[in-house]
Amino acid sequence: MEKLRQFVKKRPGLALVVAFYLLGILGLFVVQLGEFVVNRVLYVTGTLAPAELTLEDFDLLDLEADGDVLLVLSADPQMLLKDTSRRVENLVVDFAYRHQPRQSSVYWAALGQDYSRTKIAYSQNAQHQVYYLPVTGRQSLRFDPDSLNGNHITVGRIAINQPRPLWAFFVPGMARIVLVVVVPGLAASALSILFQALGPRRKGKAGTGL
Amino acid sequence: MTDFRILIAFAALCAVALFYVSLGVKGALAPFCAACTAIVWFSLMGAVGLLRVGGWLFYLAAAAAVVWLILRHGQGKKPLAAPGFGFWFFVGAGLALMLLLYIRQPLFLYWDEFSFWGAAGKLTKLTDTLFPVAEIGWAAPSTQKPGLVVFSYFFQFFGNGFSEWQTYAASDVFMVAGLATVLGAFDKNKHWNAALPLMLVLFLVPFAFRHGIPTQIVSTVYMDSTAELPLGCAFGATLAMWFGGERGRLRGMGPVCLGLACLVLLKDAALMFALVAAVLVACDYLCTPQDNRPKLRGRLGGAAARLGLGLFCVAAVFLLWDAYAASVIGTSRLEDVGGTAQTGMLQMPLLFVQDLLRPEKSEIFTTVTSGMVQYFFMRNNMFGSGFTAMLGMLSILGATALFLCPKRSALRRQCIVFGIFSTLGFAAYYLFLTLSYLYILSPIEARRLASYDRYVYPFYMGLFLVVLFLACRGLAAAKRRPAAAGKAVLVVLAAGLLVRTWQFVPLQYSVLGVPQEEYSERLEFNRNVAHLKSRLDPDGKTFIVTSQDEGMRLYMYVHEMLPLRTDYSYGGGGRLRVKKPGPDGTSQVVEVTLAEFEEYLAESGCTTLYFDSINAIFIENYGSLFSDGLQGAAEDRTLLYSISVQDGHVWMEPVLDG
Repeated sequence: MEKLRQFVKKRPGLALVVAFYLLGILGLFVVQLGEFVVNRVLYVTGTLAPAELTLEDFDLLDLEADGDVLLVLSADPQMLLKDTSRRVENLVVDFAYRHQPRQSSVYWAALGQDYSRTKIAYSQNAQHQVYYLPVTGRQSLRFDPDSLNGNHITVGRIAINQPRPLWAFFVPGMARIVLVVVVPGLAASALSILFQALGPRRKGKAGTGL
Repeated sequence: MTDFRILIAFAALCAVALFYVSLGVKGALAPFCAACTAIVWFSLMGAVGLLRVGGWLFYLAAAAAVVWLILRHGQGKKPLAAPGFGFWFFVGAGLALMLLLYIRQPLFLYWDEFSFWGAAGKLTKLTDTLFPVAEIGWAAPSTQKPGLVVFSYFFQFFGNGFSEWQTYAASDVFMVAGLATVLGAFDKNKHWNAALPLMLVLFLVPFAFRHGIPTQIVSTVYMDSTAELPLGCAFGATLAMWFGGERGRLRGMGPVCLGLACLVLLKDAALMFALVAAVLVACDYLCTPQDNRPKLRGRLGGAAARLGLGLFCVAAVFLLWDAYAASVIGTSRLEDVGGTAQTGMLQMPLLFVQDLLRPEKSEIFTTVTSGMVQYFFMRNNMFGSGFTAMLGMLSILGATALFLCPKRSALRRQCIVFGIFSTLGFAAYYLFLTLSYLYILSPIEARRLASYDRYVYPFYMGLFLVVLFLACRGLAAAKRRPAAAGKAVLVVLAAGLLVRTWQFVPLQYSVLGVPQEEYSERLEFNRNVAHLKSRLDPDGKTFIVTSQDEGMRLYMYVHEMLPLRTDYSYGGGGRLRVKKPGPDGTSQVVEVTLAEFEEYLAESGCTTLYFDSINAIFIENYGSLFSDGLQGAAEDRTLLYSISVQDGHVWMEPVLDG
């Protein structure tokens, strides 16, 4: 404790920066914990309910269904979830592709709004695809299974709201990493500048500039 | 190994930088000095054909520098001064970007990367020969400036194979080294509360000048093999090395000369940047009082010496490369800049004055000049148009001079002098740009002022870096309250730029979050080419037929096929076009008839022919050269044909897969 006090006294600036970064990391943890709790509550109250879906649950665009095989008819085929009253937190898809798929993604949009390229989720794995979506309210959902015209897709399992493992809540996304790297430093600087403006006059005279 | 080699290169760069620090160069400026040294050295060794040897020498020298620094430290001599914020910014941002690129593994996506910047890097790496003389199979080699290509070679020196994300990593490290020089405005570890927001601003500067509107495609900032952003950084950094170095002594010109030499090597159009920088340096020395030379007359000689030294470096590097290029292709850029007017570089301004005085101005002259004026007021960066950016920079300089600099200080004079002469320098560059559109670029490109943004934003960016540097000098010199106010503005600028960048470049379009899905088409293309390559004779040469009008797809093949040789060729609308050497050593694209094509193929030494795509008109026009009348290709059984030549007659047979 005494060492800490000495450190703060000797290097007040560095101590301030370190303190803000610790605060930033703590803040991130609190937010993630909050999300975890909210998520569990949503499952317990039944707002988010696990379910298995079939092709019947989707409107198909540029896709031709033949039994459980889908033929891709354009470079932008879409599967639009019919029932927009469902809240979807994640989507798990097991599809088999005849040719290596080109691009699979999930779009979400508030009801009545267009899909945009900023509200998009990708899967880490092309075979067992898992997409995580934010739960904001009622929203429409669009799954683009592939963008390779002419590809054949054998449909396997489509499931929504499969409980997420605990650790998945505590791995920050890139946006949060950026914020945690940038914001504490800026905040510490701002506070220190404020101190400088209000604090006692510096000893010695101002520099010459060169 | 191939993933870690960029770390070895980075470590070598840091070692050379620390060596410079021990020589008395500021820690913030040293990384850029080291990067320039690498570029100049590798370019030189490449030009004399000793690229591999030069690489080993550079790495050995870096190792020797480490040993020397350790020994020096052990002897208890004056320890190496702490290198300061700038150096640590370089290390931190460099490592972070390399890690990001390693995770994202981005690939080349855009035209210029396939047509020159990326492909030349791959060619140079795979053949250990500088690209103008490396064997690619085409009629005419490229003689663009080699700076970034050799820097990429330096990063990928060890191990086999070429990696596209590592080329980006090299370019990023160079940029970060340039950006770090601005932090040299602060004394060691003082003013951390200004240095932190400044670091954020510096990191975002490339975004700020590259994107004027929200992007709809993957942003190339920090994922770029072309020269514009590095050029902007280097232009600012060269001037920052002057302002932050030992201005009073002639040896302060050392790093500046290194920077100027490096500038010339980045890009053909960078010559103007280097000239403007050299003149700005001399003007600054002439117009601001030195401790030992208070009078203007006393500084005349020094200014002339600095101008001479700077211009000498610029001219020497330019002429050396010109001589090298001339030895490769047999024509000098100095006598003929190419393009439409076929004029020499020195006649261009005269031609312009002639055209300007002519009572009846030509249509293209009025289109270009009025366009240049119009574009100056058009939105193209996060601060608005070029006009608002210039206005903003001049206001920052003015505010620094008025509110931050001590009265009658040399710094105040410096701000004013830089404001005036950088504006003049910009005007000169803008005029040069107009001349290029009028007399070098083709009329089609000139009429729509093609690539206008790419030509101007490096200049704004470089000036902005210097303005930041001078403003931070002002912050460090100011009294308490004005300094705090200035720093607050800096924090606001940082936060504002962050928000703006966030809006303009969504994470999934930036180096921070671009998903592999963005590269899925490219990856599929690569898989196909890899399969094709496995069917080809490694010593053979392949003629590729694409039926798209623009050459993008062809360049993608040429790049991806390396080190296998390809021939330049593409057919649009059923007519084949090939690249032939022109009369003056350059090359031209000509359409060929059946007989000419046969003759061309027989002479080209091609052993196989591959169709990217095929159409009915092509079959009609050239089908008789193929044993199956191109039925195999039309029915998608095979796209590959082998070529045999007998008595000048060409015969092609299908090569079936598997």
